[in-house]
Amino acid sequence: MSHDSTPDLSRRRFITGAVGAVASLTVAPGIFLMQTNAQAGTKPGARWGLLINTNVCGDCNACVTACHKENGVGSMNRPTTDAQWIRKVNITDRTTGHSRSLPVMCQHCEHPPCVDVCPTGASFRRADGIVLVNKHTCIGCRYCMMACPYKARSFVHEHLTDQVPHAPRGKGTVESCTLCVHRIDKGERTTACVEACHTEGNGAMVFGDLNDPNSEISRRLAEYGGAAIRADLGLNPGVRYQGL
Amino acid sequence: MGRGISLVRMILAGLLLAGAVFALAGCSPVEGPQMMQARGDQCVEPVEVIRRDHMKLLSHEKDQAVLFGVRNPNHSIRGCVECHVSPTASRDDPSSHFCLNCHSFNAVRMDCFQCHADKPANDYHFHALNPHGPGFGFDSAANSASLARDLESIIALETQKP
Repeated sequence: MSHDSTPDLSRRRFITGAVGAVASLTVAPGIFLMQTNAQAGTKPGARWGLLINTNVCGDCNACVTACHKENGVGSMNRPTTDAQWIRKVNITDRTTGHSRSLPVMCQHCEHPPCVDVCPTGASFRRADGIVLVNKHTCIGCRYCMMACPYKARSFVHEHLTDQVPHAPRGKGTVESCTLCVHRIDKGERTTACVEACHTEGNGAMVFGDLNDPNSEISRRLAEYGGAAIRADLGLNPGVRYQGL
Repeated sequence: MGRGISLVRMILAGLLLAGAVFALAGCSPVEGPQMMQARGDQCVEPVEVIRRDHMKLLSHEKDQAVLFGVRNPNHSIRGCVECHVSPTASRDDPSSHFCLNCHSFNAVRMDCFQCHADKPANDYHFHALNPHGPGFGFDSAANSASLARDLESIIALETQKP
């Protein structure tokens, strides 16, 4: 780093985008917009969701393992505070003794209670229906964890190292299933859990666009229907279950 | 008597000042930190821009990426790490880590790497100017001028739409 190479670049030249590589739009002094590629951003009109067929879902844990591997969610050997993006829930009908096992993760509600209660706006719903935590603004108050009726969110209690590049995670923030947003933004149309369910599990999960009537998930929902967990709350979750 | 004491005080102060001046005159310019070589021939912006304004680019585009899914490998923290940090770098040894090296030299402490991966992953997310391969959905640009042309044409196309 030499001392004679002082930047000969004025602030105005930077802001107005007169410098080489970046084409930028000046909105006001100090604010600049940069546009990158034409397909950038969330898919217009889409609402991503999952359909889980509990008639097919068995005892396996492939979705949980795959999710936690994909997103670098590791155990600290403290089960009470370990982060959990997806979990298997077993339910039994007391009268008949009939049991079911189903994966439960963030349900990506249309009216998410976690977003309602967040004091900083860190918990938010993307235009394509994915509910996320903006960890840049999360203060770790955990109101969202209390508000979520699905217990979908976890708090990171401990200092972490060796995170996965596409899934930043850190102490003092709340996190949950991102519906593999890094894959969706790359143009992939599947998630780690769905992929694992098809390769290692029983093929009980479908990912797709709920707003596209021709998508597999919409066709299946139209034909066979799908229930929301705690439908009485009127949150209209993007994750639907069959056979409950 | 009081006059004599104040004279001694003045002489002492003068000596101290002179000593400080000599000591400063003896100093050479501060050596910059040894920065590791980046993988790739060209940065996403001219060096003087990136040196001064990389934090503005990252800060602005982080919101675009998180809130709106507009991910730009050319201005992502992941892209920085991909070229500038060796896969064997360590957070504990700043000299092996490009970002931490300069930040610690300049006494800047930011929290990016508390959450963000501080080492490149196996799947490469190089920016468009890196000859080793661009990120997903991006083609290699021959140079920064052609990249600017591409961006301008994209913006022109986008602004035509209502």
